[in-house]
Amino acid sequence: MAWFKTSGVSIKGMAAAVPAQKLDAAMLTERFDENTIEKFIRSTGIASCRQTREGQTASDLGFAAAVRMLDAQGIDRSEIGVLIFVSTSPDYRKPATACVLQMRLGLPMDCACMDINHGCAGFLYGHQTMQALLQGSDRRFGLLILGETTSKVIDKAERNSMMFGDAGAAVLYERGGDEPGVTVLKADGRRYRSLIVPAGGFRDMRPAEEYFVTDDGERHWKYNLFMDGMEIFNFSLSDVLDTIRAYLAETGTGAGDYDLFACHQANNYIIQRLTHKLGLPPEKVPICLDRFGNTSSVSIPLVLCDRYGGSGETGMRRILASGFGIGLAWGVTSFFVDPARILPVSETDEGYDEGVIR
Amino acid sequence: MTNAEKIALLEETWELDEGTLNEETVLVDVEEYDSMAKLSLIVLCDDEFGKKLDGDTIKGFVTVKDILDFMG
Repeated sequence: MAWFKTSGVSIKGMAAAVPAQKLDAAMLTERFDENTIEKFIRSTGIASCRQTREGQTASDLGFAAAVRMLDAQGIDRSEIGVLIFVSTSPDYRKPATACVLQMRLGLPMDCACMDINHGCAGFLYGHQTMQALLQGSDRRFGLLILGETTSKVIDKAERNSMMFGDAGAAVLYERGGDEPGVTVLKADGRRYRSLIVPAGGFRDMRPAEEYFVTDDGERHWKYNLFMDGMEIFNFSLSDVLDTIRAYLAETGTGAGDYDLFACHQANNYIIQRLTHKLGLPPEKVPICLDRFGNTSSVSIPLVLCDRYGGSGETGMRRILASGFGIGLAWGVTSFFVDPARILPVSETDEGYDEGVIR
Repeated sequence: MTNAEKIALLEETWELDEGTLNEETVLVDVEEYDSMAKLSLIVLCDDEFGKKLDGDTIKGFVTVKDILDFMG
């Protein structure tokens, strides 16, 4: 296994924002019978989620979270040297959404800005990239903003249309001290088709046939997210589980060394199986997907804000985190964070309308 | 574990009444054999029989007997 190691870049703040628009399982009774809905809730653990309105994007959610966090800590924005936006729901095909966020946040031109096109493993990729960049920088702060609007590429007629929720988050990194960063990042492109929006990119911009058919005879619209549920389930409980176990073994740590396991909020069944297989006490594995659904890369900071934000708890907590999914890609890391620096999840209905070119 | 016991385990996992399944039951005829049931089957094979069940193998299961044979 390959390791990324850094030193002296730690997390100093966290915030998350979800759209004000809520979708309850109960609202689906117009389209599905009660039995189907009840089964969905039971198997996924998701009872409701949030979905962006028209004109509200992933970057709007991340922006809202970032503003709250920076203001709450009175951060001098001129000291931010790196801005990374993690999302598979960018504002535009180009330019990078991070550049737009830089302008909206009033960050200096000396701030390096980039997007990372990753979903569920996005926090891990963003976290490691941020630590590596900031460690080699002479600036004090780095800002990692994450956002996802999967609701915009989901077939609303499908039973699992509620599985994915929209959300945004912001994480503040500070250079200084000697806290070690140890991260594993992995990918397996052989399974890239297991989670994919097939059309609309440059491989197949305007397909002649807008639907493709899978082995089971099901038709799937190419502009929507396709997921091979069984492949992802197996992946989560084999590759991801093996990697987490190897991470613990190599770092000489176990369940007892961590205060909390921030697990990507894919579905309840996967989280329960991972918790069981890793021998973790359930109280160390918080859940927020019941109210927010699967929010892709945002789910790790979201579950931390949900658990610690406004809790009144203080003092360093040691967190084990793992994100896994589209790519396929996955990663494991650990870090310290003070709950006093984590804000509770907020709501926003804001959207940057000026971003629409007319 | 006998085949009868394995069948009882499947009925319990899929929340079916006792006696619903037998070795010749064709899976596609079982309404409850949906995507969730297949995930439960993966977990069952791992927990009870230490066997890793992948998507291609599941697709190959036609009857209950095919599952029993896989369980070993």
